[in-house]
This record gives sequence, structure tokens and C-alpha cells, in this order.
Amino acid sequence: MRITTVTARIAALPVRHKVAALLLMSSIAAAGVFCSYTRPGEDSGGEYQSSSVLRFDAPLDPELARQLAREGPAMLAASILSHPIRADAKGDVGLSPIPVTSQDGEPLRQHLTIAEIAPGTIRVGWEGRGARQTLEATQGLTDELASWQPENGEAAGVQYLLAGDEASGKPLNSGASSRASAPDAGYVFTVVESPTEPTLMRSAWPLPAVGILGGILAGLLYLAGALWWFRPVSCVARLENILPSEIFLVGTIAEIHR
Amino acid sequence: MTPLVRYTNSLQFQRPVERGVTRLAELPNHRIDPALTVAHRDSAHLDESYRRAAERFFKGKTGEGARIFVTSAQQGDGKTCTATNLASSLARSGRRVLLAELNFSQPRLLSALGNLRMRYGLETALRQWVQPAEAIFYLASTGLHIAPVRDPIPPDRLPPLIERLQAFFAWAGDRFDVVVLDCPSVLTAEWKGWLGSLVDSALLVVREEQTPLVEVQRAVRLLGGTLKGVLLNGHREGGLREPASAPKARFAAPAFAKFQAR
Repeated sequence: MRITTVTARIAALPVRHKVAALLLMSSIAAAGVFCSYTRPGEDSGGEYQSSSVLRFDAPLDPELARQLAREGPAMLAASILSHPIRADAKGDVGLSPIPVTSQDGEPLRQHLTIAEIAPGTIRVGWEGRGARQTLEATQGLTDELASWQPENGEAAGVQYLLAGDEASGKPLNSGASSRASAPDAGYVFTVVESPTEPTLMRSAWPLPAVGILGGILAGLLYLAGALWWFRPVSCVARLENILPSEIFLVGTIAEIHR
Repeated sequence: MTPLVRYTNSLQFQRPVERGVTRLAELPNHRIDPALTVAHRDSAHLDESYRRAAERFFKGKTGEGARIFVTSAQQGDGKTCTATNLASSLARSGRRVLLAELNFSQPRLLSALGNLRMRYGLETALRQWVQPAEAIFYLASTGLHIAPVRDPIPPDRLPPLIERLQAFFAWAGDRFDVVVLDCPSVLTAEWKGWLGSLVDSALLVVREEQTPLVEVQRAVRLLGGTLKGVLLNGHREGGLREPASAPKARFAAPAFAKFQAR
């Protein structure tokens, strides 16, 4: 089929179908962009991420950093989630009544992501299916961690971090704890940036490009469907096929060039 | 195909003989739609195509007052040109033919004939401002009588004129062998609103590579039993192509067999 034929057929389509294709194209693209830059609905079923950046008042002990690298964030997550303060705050983060110390708490730990993004700085994140729950969980964890203070001097700070590491029984961040116990150390963690980062809420999809591409594809698909539906009479045989038996083709007239 | 403008300067119209010839109107033929056979010097093969189509439509016999309501599924399929060419070819074959325009809201016949200025249109006769004969003009060069619409009438003012239109049909049927009526498209509100009830023998014009099949099917459904034939316009394979279904039972009517024998 020649390009001119296609364009002529598109031009010959009823206006309502061209408008519908345009609306479909623009609305899907706009929806993609909108969903990417604004907060999606609560029950949209997507995966959401929320995170906060926290900094140790003292740099992480090298040994602890190695431990983190070896065992991953699960260790620190277990340490955080096992603390009584966490248990007190669980109602605030909307996660109760998940027993974090039992095996049932494993899914909770799996949704917690802790990564060291710079020496002495960690990113505490939360992943969940509910946008509001994800945000509140991260916010609660951030508040909880930022409020940690050595209650009983040096050992308390150590114990906070080692609460989930009962098997080893070794103070992994002894260096940090000693500094944390200093009078001017204040809190163990400090919120470095805003409690919630600007990019906290992120749906798994759609990205703007996906929305625009999907919109264009949907519009083109609609146009293709409309072109097929409104395919013209191309030959005598096709016309005769659709005519009832009692109606006949009285003749054909040659093209008269104007 | 050579345009008529190369050998003559005008077409002549005159008032019908019935109430006396009153005046001639000159038609600057360079404005005539080139799709009309009257605009061409050598249109014999086209005339033959249209004449044979008309013969098939009437199945070989064109009695007095025979009517063809020429319509299409959508705008731009060539209703006016087909109606004019059909009427012209029948008139050239010696029949007394009237071409009347029923597209009151968007008249096209006068513009196709070169924006001819006429004193009366068919609408004036329907409003009873003039007698029907005064709204009919005679194309001397082809022997064709025409009753075009001069001033458009809004669709909402048409229903009161239906009764007078039926009277006009009866009047024209007594005086002409064939009355060809250029109608609006089948799928328009105008057709569904008032014209559909008047139609008894419709010819559906389909334009090749333009009219959607689905619209043809809708038009066929709407026309129902009043549809007597379909004409494929703008056929690209050449002129006098016999329909593929010609030998089938649908053409087995005695009148058509007689036509075929000729």
C-alpha cells in the first residue's frame, strides 16, 4: 500500500475517529507523565520505594563496614527492627502487629533496604505495595533512628546496633560506639537531608517515556483498526460479496479524470 | 477526452415548451464539472456505460414515469455527476428525461453545471410560488430537462413540503419517460428524516477506493427493499466492464435477458 493511499485513507476517515485516536494518544501519554511525577493512588497495586538518608554522627567502624558488606543490609535491618523502640513505634509506621523478632518478621526485613552510600552515611529505604504505608514506614524508621541516643553510655549505643547480631556476640562497631558515647556525639544517627527525599515515591511504572510511547502506539493501533474497519471498496468482487442476492451491480463507470 | 470548451463557448438552456419558450440562458462551460459527460466532446463510451446501467436498473424497460433515486453512502461519491450523466445518456438515447435535485439543504447541481443562474428553482415550485413547469429548464444540446434547487432550504423546513413533492413526482411522471432524482446521502439525517419515505427505487452510487465497505453495508440495510441496484463509480480497470455476477441468477429476469440479447 502506498504512502499516499494511506494518507488519503486517513484523511477520508470520519473526523470522530481521528479525534478519538488523538485523544487516546494524548491521554495515555499524559497519564504516564502524570503518574511518574505525582503521587499515585493508594491502591494502585504498584511497587513503591521510599528512603531517607541518615548519617552516623561518627563514621562507621571499618570492621562494621566490612560486616555490612559481607552480610548485607539484613544484619543492620535486623538490628534496627529488633530494638524495643522499633516495637513502640510499629503502630506509627502502620506495620503492626508484625513480630519482628520471629520468622514472621522476615517479610518485614525483606522490605527494608539499607545501603551505605558514603562513609558514615546510609540510606534507609522501604519498599511496599501501598504508597502511604511505604511513606509512613520510611518516615517512622527515620524518626526512630534519628531519635536513637546512647541511653547508658557507650555500651548502649553498641547494643542498639548489635541487637540482631546475637550469634556473634562481638561488638562490630566498637569504634563508632566509642565515639557515639562522647558527650558531643548526641544521637547515633542524624538525618542528613530532608526526612523524605524528593524522589521518595516512585512507582515501578509508568515512566514518562513509557507513557508517551504507549500513547503513540495506542493511537496508531486505534488508527490502524479504524482504517481496517473503514476499508474502501477496492474491486467489483468485494462489492458484490457484500450485496444481498436480490440486489445487483448495474455497472461500473470508469474513472473520469477531472 | 476533450473538454467541450475547445469547440464551443456555451451550453444553452431554455424554459420548457409547455408554457412557451421564454428565454435562453448561456452557460459558461469552462466552469462545468469535468466529471460530467456534457463537458466532453467524445463521451460516447461513457454515455453507453450509463445507458446500459440504466437499462439494467430498469431491467430493460423504462416505462413512463420511471424514477431513479440516485444516492450514496457518503458525501463525495459522485451522486450529482452520476445522476446528471445517467439522465443525459438516457436523454441522448431519445427518452424524455427530467433530472430533479432533491438535495435541498446542500444543492450541488447548479454549481456542477457551471454556476448557472436561474430564475426559479425546484423549491419555488414546492412553495407554490410558481407552477412546476416554470421550475424546469431544458438543456437544448442534450435534450435533458433539469429542475435544480436554487436556494437551499434548511432541513427543518422540509417536512411540510413532502406532500407537494409527492404531487410534483406525480406531475413529472405524467410528462417524462424517466425522472432521475439527485438525492442526499442515505446516512444523512435528511434522508432518514423525510426523504426515505418517498423513495421506491434507489440506485446506490459507490466510489471505488473511497466508499468504505461498512458504509455500503449500512446504506444497503437502510435502503432495504427500495434499493434496486448499485453502480460502481470511478472504476480504475476501465470502462465497460461487465459485472462478474452478470451470468448468475440475479440477472435472469426476462427483461434483462432481452436487454442482453440486444
